[in-house]
Amino acid sequence: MRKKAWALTIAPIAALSLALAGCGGGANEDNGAAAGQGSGASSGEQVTLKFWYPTAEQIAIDAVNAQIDKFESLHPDIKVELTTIPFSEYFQKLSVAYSGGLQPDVHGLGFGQLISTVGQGKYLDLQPYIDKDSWEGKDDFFPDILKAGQWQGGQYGLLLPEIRPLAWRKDFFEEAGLDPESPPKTVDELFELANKLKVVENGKTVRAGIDIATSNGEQPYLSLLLLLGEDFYDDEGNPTFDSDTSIKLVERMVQLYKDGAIIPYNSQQVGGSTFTQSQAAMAFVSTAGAAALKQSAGADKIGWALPPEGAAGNRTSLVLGTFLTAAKNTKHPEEAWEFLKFWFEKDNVFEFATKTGFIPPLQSLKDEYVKLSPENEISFEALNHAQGYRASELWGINVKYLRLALEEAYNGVKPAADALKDNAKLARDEIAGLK
Amino acid sequence: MNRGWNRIVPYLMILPNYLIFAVFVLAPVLWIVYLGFTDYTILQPSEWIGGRNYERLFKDTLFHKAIINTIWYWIGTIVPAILLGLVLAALLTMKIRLLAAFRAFIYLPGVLSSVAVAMTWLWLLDPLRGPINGALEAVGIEGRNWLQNPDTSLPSVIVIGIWTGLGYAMIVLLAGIQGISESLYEAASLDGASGPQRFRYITVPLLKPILLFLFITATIRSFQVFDLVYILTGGGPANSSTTIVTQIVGASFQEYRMGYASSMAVFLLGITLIVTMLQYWLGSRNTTTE
Repeated sequence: MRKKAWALTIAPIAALSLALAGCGGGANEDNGAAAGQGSGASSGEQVTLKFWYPTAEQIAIDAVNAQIDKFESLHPDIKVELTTIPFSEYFQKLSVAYSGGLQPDVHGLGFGQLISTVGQGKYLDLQPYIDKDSWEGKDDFFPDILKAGQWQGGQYGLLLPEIRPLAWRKDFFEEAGLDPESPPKTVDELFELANKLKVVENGKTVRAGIDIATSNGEQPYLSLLLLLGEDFYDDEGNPTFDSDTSIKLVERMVQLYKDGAIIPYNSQQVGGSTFTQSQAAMAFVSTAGAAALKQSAGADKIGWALPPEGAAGNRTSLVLGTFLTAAKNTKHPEEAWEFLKFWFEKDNVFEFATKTGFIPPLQSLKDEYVKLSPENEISFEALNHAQGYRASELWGINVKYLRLALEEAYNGVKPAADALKDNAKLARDEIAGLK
Repeated sequence: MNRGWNRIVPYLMILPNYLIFAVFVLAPVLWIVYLGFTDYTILQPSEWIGGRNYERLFKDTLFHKAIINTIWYWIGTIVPAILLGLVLAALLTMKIRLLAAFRAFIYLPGVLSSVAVAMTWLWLLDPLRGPINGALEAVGIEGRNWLQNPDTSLPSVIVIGIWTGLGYAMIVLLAGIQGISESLYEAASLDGASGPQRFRYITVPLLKPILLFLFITATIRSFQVFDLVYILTGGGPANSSTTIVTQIVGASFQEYRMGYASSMAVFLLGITLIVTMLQYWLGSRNTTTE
């Protein structure tokens, strides 16, 4: 009797488990991405494209919907089904969708997300479609911005860029007795002014000379390192943040912190950076936040300039942003390409970018864009010398150990040189363990 | 026929719940155990790599730091929360005005969204504009950057953990105290026992089963701490406040190494089980020897 009870209990569970195991997998590994493979629309049937976009802001959602409405009116046989997801949860949900074979046809991707996963072969190579259509947008795109979405000769994403030139508070410059129209022109001058611009009361820094996050602070560090002509990992994904140049840079940044020219904060905190809270005099700020900054501080108080020159004359700006890409296994690659192509047509990308704070990545839009606001000229010029993260699946490991090295250096856990060297070694060991 | 059917019916009654447990809890746990032996990156199918993830785990100094921080968080929140909860529960059995309001205010942090709690404390602990530093400076004590200093980041998270856990401990212990017969206290009073003596010799011994329950549930919760840490400090600075679950989330959704993250999760499951069983064994042993 006891055995029968066991059997009655176990049998349904075993049957259910077998059924569930049979349902697993399901990702179609067939490559349907060759240009020219048609789908429903070419035979006149209605095609529905699933489109995911990473945002929770109503302005961006409205702008995306406006793009979709316009596209659908021009392509009555293609319907676009939009899903917006807050950025913080976006890639988790997208990667789960991919693993279950339920990925959208077209979707957005954060900069780091694309460059660290492009090697896994999940995204549609747009190059064949670009070549087939002789897409004029290819020549109009800023070369560095187009290159950001390339990997091993293919084009896997088109970037809506946001760039990090130098911003400064003219009123704080005036208070410190400095010329408000004269931002630092070299990296050395930047460090010098950071000390002059700090405000210390009762031994506590109440205004930083420069906004540099001390936790999760790889982006301002990278903004400075690019000016010195280096990167924090190479093309093979091996860490290079323990180079002599990087060590000297971090030692200077740590000294700024010790001198009270930096207010420590976590770049991922919800309240925003010290610059956006009017607690710092200079920053490498994303142009996407320009509108909010002008509103909080006053447009006349903020100056924008290209980053100061590094030792070799580099004025490279860190560029990040959101890629638009398509899934390699989409059943509608032609329609997906039509949608992407539409998005990056001049009028469409201009309208979307100006509403959402991205920079329109087409060189021919310069005059129109600059008319909107004076700082747009700086943003456009910065696109000529811009660099984002290099494509590498090892990006995550390098960022992890770089962040740790910077935090250890700032907080005096280790001298900068030791922190960078020890963590670079840990990164190399972890990379070697993966291979 | 009736006898056979009557034997089957109880199993049929519990079968739906058991199936739900099997499908939504047991099967995923077994799947995670399997993934711990693979190099699954969510975007690619998994490949069996044997015990390599666990070999890495033993050499991963960041993970070791997370284990130590988690243990500190566990000890640092459980003991004060339960002790203070016990004292508060004893006080709240007295007949005082606004008793219900006090109970509600003390219990409230435990039912609030942990994200809302963390955001509030971010404001309270703001080094420049936060009221806590303001109050300290008003009495001549220098305020600090509590969350961005490696020496104070984890203790700050622990204090907030005590604050949120205190109400739950208080409510459970209050229910336990109210279940103790008044006649025991009356008899003790008649024998000349003072308040503290009644508390020590009647209340505490009779609350042992409830204290055991609280220790076990609070242990499981404290080992799973993530949201407070993630929002308040992100696990930093310099991993000074990172915990096991913070490392799991980092490995899985920031580095896309689901296989390695699964091995961390299995490790967490293992130590939670061991600690819980140890507590249960010790607690049961003490109860039975009395």
